Amino acid sequence: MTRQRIDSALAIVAMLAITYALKRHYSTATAEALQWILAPTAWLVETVFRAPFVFEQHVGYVNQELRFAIAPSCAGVNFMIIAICSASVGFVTYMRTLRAKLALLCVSVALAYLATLGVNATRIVIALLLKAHPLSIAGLSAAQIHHAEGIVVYFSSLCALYLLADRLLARAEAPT
Amino acid sequence: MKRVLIPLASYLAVTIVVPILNGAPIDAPFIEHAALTIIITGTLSALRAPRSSEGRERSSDWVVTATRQSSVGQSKGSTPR
Repeated sequence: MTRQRIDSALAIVAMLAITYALKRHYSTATAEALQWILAPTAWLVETVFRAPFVFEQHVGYVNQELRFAIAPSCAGVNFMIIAICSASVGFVTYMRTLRAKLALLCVSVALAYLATLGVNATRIVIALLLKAHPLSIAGLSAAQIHHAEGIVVYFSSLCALYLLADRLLARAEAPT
Repeated sequence: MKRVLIPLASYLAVTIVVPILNGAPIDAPFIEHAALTIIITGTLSALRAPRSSEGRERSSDWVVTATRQSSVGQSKGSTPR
């Protein structure tokens, strides 16, 4: 096994430790403990949709008029974990030293957080629009359409961000 | 499809495999969630497939150029990844 492969394996182990800790925190966290992600998401949704969301203990950010809650279950932490995993596994070979690979992991965590805020706020705004203007698609219920919309927004964004980052890293590495 | 394999694998692992490993009940709602996830992510990945084959054609063209260059005495080391 070459030195580079050992370094890549170490970086992936570090990534697994971070994502495991995040998943463990998320599985038991209350709305109060998830303020670090719920508050900026609610702020972004408020800014775009121009509807106030008020924090309610043990529930999350709620708009009574729209009957909509930004609750822990839609905090987007799973998307953040997926983005960290994709970036770390997909781009670790671009980095040559262990230090660079660990730096990639740190940058991935920070960018995954920012991407999660943007993508999740977009998903929630689309969900609010779909609530205001219900669609009927192939006999799917409103809950199934909401679920499908989440998968489409999350997965499309994940692929777009991954391909963009891959292109940027390949360009940075290509000989001039 | 190959270009989005890592995001696809990560997505399916976190949304389907990890809950199963954590002991989530494999009941009707979970099967509905898994089916919807697999159908949508599979369709979106397949939609990106023509672009990735386009990319492969481009990169194979590049390799031909590099081979031609190397045949006239230039280094092979500049082949992009």
